Amino acid sequence: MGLNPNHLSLEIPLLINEYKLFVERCCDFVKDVPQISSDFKKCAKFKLVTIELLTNAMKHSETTSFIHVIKRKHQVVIKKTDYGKRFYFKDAITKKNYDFPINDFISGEKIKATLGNNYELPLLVKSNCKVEFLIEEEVIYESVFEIPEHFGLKIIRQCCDSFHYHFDAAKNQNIFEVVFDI
Amino acid sequence: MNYKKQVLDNVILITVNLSEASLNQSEEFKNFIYDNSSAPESKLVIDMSNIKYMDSSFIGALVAGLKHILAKSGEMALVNIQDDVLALFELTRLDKVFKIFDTVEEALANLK
Repeated sequence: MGLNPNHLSLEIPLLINEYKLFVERCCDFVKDVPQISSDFKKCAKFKLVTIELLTNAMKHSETTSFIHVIKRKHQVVIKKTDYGKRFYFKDAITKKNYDFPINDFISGEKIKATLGNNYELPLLVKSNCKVEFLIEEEVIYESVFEIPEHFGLKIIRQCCDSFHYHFDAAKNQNIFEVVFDI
Repeated sequence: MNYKKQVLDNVILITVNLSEASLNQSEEFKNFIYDNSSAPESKLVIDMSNIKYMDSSFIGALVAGLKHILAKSGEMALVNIQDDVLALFELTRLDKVFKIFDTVEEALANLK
């Protein structure tokens, strides 16, 4: 089987000593996509997403993960997949904790989710196994002491054009999918 | 040593000797800031010129350090941030929260 020139897959170990190797491999793979490689801001965002997905893998998956970079005609997609711990969140309104599949919501419903210690990110329910992370309205913190200290998913969302989490129940697989339109 | 400490007049200058500042170092770095800002009205300047890659965990440690210092009426400034890293501060709007300067000298003049 030949290598797919439009698909890069990297195995992410439980502990990463050097992010540089992974980030440079991913950046090198999209160097022929000028909409990313020649645009400083987009390139910086692409790097940040890669870094945050690596951190997310180490922090939450508790197992080996994979990063996939896929080049399509009008998109570059970065996926992080693993068979570890499912993504979970707390409904900021009801204070109820959820992991996937989520059965209390209908498709199209928006959820104000609390993640990490005290940061919120709106979610759009696509199905009981899939949510889209939405861009939050600008939050004005009244004091520095209210600023959260964990916000990796928020950074990813702000860097890209769309960002989804999908739990593939049949495979018991977690998929974080980040899309850059080109 | 991942972090070098110098005392210049009444300001502590911390140089981060890491090219990658991430989850692996964030807890250690937070504790280093805490240890060096235990006195009231501490003034810290953090030189980030060596950092090429930074993740949200490390920026979280900086936020925790800032809260710790402000709670004791101290001050903290960041200097020499590389462009890719500065993008992270801008995305999180933390560039409006931290005092950020181009050089150590500017930061020292501001905090003194």
